[in-house]
Amino acid sequence: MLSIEAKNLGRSFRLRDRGEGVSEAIKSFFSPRWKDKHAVSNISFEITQGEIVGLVGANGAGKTTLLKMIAGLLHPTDGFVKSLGFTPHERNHSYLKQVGMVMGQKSQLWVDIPAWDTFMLLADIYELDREHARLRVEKLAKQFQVHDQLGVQVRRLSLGERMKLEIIAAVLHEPKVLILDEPTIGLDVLAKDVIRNFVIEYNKNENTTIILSSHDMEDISELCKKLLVINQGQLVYNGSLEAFSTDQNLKIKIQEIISKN
Amino acid sequence: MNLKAFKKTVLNTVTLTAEYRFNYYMLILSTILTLIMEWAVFKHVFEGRTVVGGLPKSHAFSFVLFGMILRTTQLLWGKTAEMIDEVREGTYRRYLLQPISHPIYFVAQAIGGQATTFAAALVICLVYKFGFDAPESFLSLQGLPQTALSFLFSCIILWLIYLCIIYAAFFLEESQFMLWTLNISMGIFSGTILPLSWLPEWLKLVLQYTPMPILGDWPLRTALGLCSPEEFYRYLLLSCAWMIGLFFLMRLLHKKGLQRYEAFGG
Repeated sequence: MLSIEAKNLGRSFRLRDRGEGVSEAIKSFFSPRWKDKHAVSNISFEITQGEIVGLVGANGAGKTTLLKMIAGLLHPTDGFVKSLGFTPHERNHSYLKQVGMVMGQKSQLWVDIPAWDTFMLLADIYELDREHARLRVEKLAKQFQVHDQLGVQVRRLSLGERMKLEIIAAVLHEPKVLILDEPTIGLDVLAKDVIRNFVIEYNKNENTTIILSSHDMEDISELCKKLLVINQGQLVYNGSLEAFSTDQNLKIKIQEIISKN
Repeated sequence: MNLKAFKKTVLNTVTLTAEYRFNYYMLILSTILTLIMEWAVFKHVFEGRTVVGGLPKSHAFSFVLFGMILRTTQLLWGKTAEMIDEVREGTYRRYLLQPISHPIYFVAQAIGGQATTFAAALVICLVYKFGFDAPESFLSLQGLPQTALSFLFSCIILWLIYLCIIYAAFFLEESQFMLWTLNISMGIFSGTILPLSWLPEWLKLVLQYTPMPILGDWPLRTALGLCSPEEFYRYLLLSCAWMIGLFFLMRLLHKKGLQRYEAFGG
């Protein structure tokens, strides 16, 4: 069953461009100079339900923009994306209840209060049974070894503990599509292992479609069977990880495209 | 509307407020100190006078007191400024991920964040009503439903204006200047610091076409028992019209704004 489908998907941004200094800032105020940036252009792919797909590319390649369009945070400027039969940017609540997202560098948790309070708020937002949600949080917290941190203000936790709690928040409502944007960024080896094991197990038990973007090739090689390589907003590889790893010519070709840009 | 989520958001914000309780203690303390100062000024400067600025002396002091309380409870400067930053910096995305409407989330946070101030305002009003020489018409039992209604409507209109300012950030990136403009205008033109009756006629005429009198003058004069029934119902109709207009403007700005949203920064 098809889970996510993108066709000729594109997103451009309009950026104000100006020179250095106060005089340039004043000049730009009265006659701004604009330039268009094509963060993602002409991308097409299909992902079936239950697949774990790796999304790889250099910084600024357009990975996060692509993930945001799948999650419904951004409107595409070209083409379309469908996820679970919905158009994500329409933000249909039925769709939002089936998708979860973790962004390695941004928090969904309320940082000044304990995670428990955010989890119970999320349970109400996603209209989950409170008792069921409580049991699920406890089970996940044990699995992630953060049970003792549930009652501590989030801002007082370490990066690793916080990331584990972010993942719990993203999967509390048992989403059918889980988007992980650099979930292991800045984490130690042990924390990375816990997260990777969780992703494997979660995918196996819940048949969730998972899209994982990471700069850590170990994340990709341990978790993903399918790979999307993106460079300067364009898809340069869409196929199996195995083919990518074994075909040296393909690897070199992709390296060339990336280094040329 | 998901009432359970609304209630939990209010409670979480109350918990959050408790984390910063010293800010609120200071806000309440400074309000009380200012009121004591005002009371002392009234007592000594206007000693022997029965009328101040066209109002009976006790009404004039009640005007200052309730005007200050109204401003303190209505204003959501901090929360609005924070959300403008969230739109500009891209962290606004966390509201878009969850199946809850942002205006509902904002109102729940507004109520939760102001809960301490509401409670303090209520206590100050009760102490003044029963412990000082407040005029009988001030927060009288018969006038209470009208006062509550005018206060609620003025808050809703102000919150809708705040939401429009937040969503303007989708187009302008920085819309805090609007917040400043609103706060300055409210201070001068809503009737909470100086009564609208003191303003020149031409200005009063202009203000009739703005929501300013509804934000301050209406609830304030209703609480003091100075609003005639005809005037009250005229304001009620006007406030309904403003609410509908602002609601649609807010929806339009949100819808169009999201199409432009860029969610910068990874």
